[in-house]
Amino acid sequence: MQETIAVLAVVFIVSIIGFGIYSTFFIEAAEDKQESAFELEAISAARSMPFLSELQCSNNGAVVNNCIDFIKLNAAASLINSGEHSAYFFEKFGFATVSINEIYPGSAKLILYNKTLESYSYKSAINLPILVFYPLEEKYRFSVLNFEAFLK
Amino acid sequence: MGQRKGIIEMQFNWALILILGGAMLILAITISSREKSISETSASVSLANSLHNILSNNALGYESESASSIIPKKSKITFECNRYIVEDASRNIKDFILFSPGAIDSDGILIDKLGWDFPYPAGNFLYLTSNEMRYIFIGDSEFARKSFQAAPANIKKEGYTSIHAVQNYGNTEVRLVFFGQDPEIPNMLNKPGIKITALKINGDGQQGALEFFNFDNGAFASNGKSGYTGMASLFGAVFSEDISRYECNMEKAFLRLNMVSYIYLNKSNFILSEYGKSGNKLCFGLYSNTTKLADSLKLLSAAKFRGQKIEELIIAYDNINKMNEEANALSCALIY
Repeated sequence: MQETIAVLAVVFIVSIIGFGIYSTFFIEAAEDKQESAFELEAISAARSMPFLSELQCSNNGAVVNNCIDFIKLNAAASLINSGEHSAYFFEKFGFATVSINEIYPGSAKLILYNKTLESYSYKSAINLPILVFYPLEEKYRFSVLNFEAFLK
Repeated sequence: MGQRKGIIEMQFNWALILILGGAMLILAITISSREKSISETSASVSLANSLHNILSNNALGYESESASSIIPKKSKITFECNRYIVEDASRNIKDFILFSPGAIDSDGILIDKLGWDFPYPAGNFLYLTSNEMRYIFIGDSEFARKSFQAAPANIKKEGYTSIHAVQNYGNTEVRLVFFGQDPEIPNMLNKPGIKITALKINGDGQQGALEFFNFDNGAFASNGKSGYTGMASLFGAVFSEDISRYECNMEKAFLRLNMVSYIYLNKSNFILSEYGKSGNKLCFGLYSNTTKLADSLKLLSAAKFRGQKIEELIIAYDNINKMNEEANALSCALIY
């Protein structure tokens, strides 16, 4: 009788431990999936940046891909961070910082979007090479668009 | 006495085995049903994400080539103005200007895009439909012919000068597009089981009036009237099943236009001040004579789809376009 109970108790305890391990793996896999989905979202948001009509270079209406107009960039920084339309961009980019760093010939830096999180569970950083066009000088400068997204 | 004790012990063992066995069976059933539900949700999420990626790729860039995509699994996708739902999963599409039917229950989804220029690029319009939907353009004008030719090539489209030439090919969904005439039902399509909607267009390539119709109880009933500006907007109406879907997306388009116009207003002011500093009299002269340009950009940066006179928008469009051409002719920095 006692032996039977002991065997059954062991089986029951092993089942509970098994279920506990399964749940732990399941939660870890779900967290990995969440981070991977967040990473993909961040890549998609970063990729869309140089294609925004508010930033993109155009020549007589014909758009130039992977190119940001310097004059539009300065005007966009105020539109994106403050004013009535800032909520639109927050919905699009969430908690993130976006900066344009000139690589050649200068080393200027401009912060385009700044909604940081002090405490976050995960951070994704994406760097995209782009051209910044100066319309008055008609010159292009090599730059990097740095996109950092924060997960709560 | 010893035999009785043995019987009780055996019964107790069986009871324990039954209880614990039952508990383990319930646990196994719970886990497997949870797994099944997770796997189904995961498939819906995966499909919703695939569609979102396809839409994002189409919304980026400005090339005019057509893009068609097939969703591999037959699933019902319901489209609202700001989100779409795939069974248990939904995705936000607030920042896409997406014209589509209310729901698609087909294994083939066709997507196309057109840039909306005002006159500068103000965003991409996305058009989404099922490969089952048949689009029939009816009209005898040059504009009707041009519209038919300009419509995305990958959709099932047909053009007729008369409604009587329309045949029934067994499609369950048909969109009739009438140019300059009231909608009529083709005899061959007046049958049960075919979902028919119609659009009446009066205008040209620049602007015009629209009226949306549903076909119920053997007659067309008006769903509402609206307007369009440019061919991209006209095709938005063709691909939208009803007026609310069309107007909601046009409101999103006008919000984008407001933001882009604000940027160009700032850009033209900056160019003016820089030419003032540099002493380039020719370009400074051009940009300082910009009352019309500034007024036009201000108008577009505050324009609303509802209640805005389309004629005013067209004048603003022409002013900005003319100014840009002058800047180009004088080799000054272009507005756009």
